[in-house]
Amino acid sequence: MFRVPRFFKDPLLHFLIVGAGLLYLGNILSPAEPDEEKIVVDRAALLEFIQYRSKAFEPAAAASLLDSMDMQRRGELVSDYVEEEALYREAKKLGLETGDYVIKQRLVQKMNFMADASVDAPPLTEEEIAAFYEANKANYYIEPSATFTHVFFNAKTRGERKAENDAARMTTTLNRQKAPFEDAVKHGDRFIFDTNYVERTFDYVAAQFGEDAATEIFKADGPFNAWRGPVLSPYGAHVIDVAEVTPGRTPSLDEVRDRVVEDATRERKAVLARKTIDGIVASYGVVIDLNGMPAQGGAPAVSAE
Amino acid sequence: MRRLLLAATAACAISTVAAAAEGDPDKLLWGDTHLHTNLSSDAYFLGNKSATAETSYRFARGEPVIHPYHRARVQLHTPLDFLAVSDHGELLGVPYRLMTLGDDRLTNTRLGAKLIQLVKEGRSEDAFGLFIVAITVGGEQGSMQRPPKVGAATALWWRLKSLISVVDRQQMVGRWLAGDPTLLGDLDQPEVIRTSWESNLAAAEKYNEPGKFTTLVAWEFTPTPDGANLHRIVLSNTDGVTAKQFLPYTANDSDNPEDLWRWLEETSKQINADFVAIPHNSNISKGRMFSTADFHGKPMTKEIAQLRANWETVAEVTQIKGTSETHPLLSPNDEFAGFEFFNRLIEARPGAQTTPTVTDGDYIRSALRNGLKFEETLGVNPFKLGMIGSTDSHTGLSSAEENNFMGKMGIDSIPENKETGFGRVSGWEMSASGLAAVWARENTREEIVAAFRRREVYGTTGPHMSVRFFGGFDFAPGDADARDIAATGYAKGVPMGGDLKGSESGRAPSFLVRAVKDPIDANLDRVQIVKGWLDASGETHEKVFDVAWSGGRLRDAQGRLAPVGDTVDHKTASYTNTIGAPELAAVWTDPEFDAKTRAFYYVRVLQIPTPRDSLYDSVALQKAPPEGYAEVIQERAYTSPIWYTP
Repeated sequence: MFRVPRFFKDPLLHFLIVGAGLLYLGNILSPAEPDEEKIVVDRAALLEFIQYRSKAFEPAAAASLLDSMDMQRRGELVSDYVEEEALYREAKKLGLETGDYVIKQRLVQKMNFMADASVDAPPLTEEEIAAFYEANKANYYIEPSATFTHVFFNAKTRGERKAENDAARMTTTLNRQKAPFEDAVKHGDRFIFDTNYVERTFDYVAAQFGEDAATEIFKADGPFNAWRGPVLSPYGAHVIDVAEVTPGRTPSLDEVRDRVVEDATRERKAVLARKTIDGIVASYGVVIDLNGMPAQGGAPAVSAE
Repeated sequence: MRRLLLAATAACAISTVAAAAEGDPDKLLWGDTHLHTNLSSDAYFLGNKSATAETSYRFARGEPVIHPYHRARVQLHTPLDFLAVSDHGELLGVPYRLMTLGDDRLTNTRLGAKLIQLVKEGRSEDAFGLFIVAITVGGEQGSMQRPPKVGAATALWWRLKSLISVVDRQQMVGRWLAGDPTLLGDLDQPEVIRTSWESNLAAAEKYNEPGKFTTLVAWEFTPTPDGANLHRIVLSNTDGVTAKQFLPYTANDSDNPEDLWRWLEETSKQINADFVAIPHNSNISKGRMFSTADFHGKPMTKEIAQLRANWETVAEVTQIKGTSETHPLLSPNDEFAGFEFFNRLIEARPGAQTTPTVTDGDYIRSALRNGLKFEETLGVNPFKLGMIGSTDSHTGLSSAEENNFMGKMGIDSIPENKETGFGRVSGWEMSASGLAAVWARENTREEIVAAFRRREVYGTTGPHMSVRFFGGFDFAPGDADARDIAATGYAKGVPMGGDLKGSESGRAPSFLVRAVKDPIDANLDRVQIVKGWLDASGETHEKVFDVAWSGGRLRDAQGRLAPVGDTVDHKTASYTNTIGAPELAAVWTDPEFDAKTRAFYYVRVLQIPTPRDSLYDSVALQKAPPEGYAEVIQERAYTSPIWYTP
């Protein structure tokens, strides 16, 4: 079976072919090398001029406008065109475009647009999606979560010491009674957030209980389904009953396929556009002459302030 | 005998709603009922070509997605529990199918070809202007004198003129479209719109996970007659399969909301489902959203009032285009009334008025007051409105976080674009706002829409503040410390959105309120109760009471509470929680109660001052904060009212 060589799949090649095509088109469409000293004002030139000036690209309308002009109006149009053309050519002759950073930026921008447009890549294959997923699994990691309840003793109303002591006593009582999860609501004070937490992430719990309490709640080795306390938060002392801590895990490709495809497509586009630009850069010989610069970077002589 | 009525659902025309879950609503669900994707015409033209309903659901669930304009990865700090993708029903998905997909049902038409040409010439904003005019003209069929059809000679003359001088393109385009009503038909093709509608419905089905994340079938009805915003979000408890039986009712069907309500009455019976219509941006409605007259300017009839009450149980009080609660000119004694205005009408016609009016038809608090009058005179309250917030974001990304705001449109989503914004509107005029909070039994379509019906919902400007609000005649001061506020509230009273009736021997009602800060946001400044009432002479009044506030502040002789302070560092756009309180609770008894007057009471919660979105931008840009915009704001929550009827 015939196989397309890798070379033909290279976006840089596509880019060059498009570029060459444009150049060729430009050549056959434009007349032979114009005489730089002679400005020819013909119907085609005026029609183009009218359209660029009005930014409305409708040749038929431009033609009927041109045809309807009286001698004076047409004369003004011709002299406007001639003046613009003459000044443009003179500027080029003086090389004014070479040192102009605005023009340089504009041309660079056009090249970037071309590079972007030339990599409108076909849909990803299954293999490519799978490979991207494998390489970027870490991005799709699902955080660990905890399911727990708690009895709260308010440090603001009871005082810190007493809240802590009350929580310690409650821990003993609840364990002696073998009190179930649901009993939490029967004891202690009102907590500003919730009593029961189901499959909540570490960040979620830490935002409401503080880092230390969250760390205790997420302890992998439990004990589970038993009362622990006092556990301290910025609001007071808690007796906690953790039912389950689900470890973090990496989801299967199928679970996160949409995200993977979106991310892979974006990355491929960026890589291809980068390759195109790198290819262009590589086609130039580059001489780097940094003589006279310090061997190592130091603090800039003038501060930014 | 004193009687407590639960939230009124009597007006509901639907008899067969799925069996409700048992018990009191104990789940606080957060969502957005107002979000546009790339299928909304304006969203598409102004920078959102790629964020679809699927992107929206994934973002709302908390996943990272690609921003449709600047292409960076974005993610919410706190995920949502439900989302209604509510694209403009008018020409739904038409620009996307025309430009991006090249749907030949559109590309082969006169108007379609014109739009493609404009975009190819790099004039997306002109193309958008043409679209807006098309929608406006479509919405005004019959209500204006139609100009003569634009013939070939006129068209050629315009074209010639445009080549040699500056012409008003929008005026030309407006005359072109207005002169030939068949032109709009080029784009307004039911089969094309059906394709888009069904793709949104399919996404809703794919992402709806009862108990975990709810997707609501919704769209926006978008009439703007004479520059007056009469827009409504319409949402339903139906599923994405049943909803295929209809196409969204739009301003191209009628720009009269009364016709929308009649259509809802009809359609709800046909598909055996419920709808709720949610008016938004009354603040730019030129006094018409809550006008005391009907659509044609005639006095409100009982029939129209009842129709409205049947379908509009909730209004959007805050969103990206500002506040619709009240205005300092309407509430001169409310020191917090001056908050996040939006100062521009949706107006494309040259020379037309662009500044919003400030009348009692423009703001919800005034509408609530006028509602009391109607209840007295007509026996029906057309403005018995609960309150929610939502974003109205057009990026497909529901973001209301000041420090993580994704912009109104794609193109004003990055700081460097905000100064110029889009059209004449600065991106800093936009408020990073709008969330809907719902007290429900379960996270399902039925339960959420049922909560909208009984108005057990509230709105915030972004933070996830938890607010409970109950009214009754038996609350004791100690109830504010109850271990389970909700159990006490439901046992002794009615929740937000409900009704109190007939006080026994003139005893004043009490209100149990509790507000808790967003765990990852700022502390609270104060809790207020806003009261409105109708006096014996038929005049309405309003008063704001501070009912709970953070420590150590006293009220002065005029009863005014000292400001909470301000910790915002304007150089770094940061604040600290060293002031304010994480939780505020109180039982408040109306000291000025008159058992014979109709009244409403709602809660407003204020956060301590925090940096506004525009301050984060100016710090990022290392520029002075943009002039004319606040640098700090006090985010807030607004609950649905509780009404008292003698």
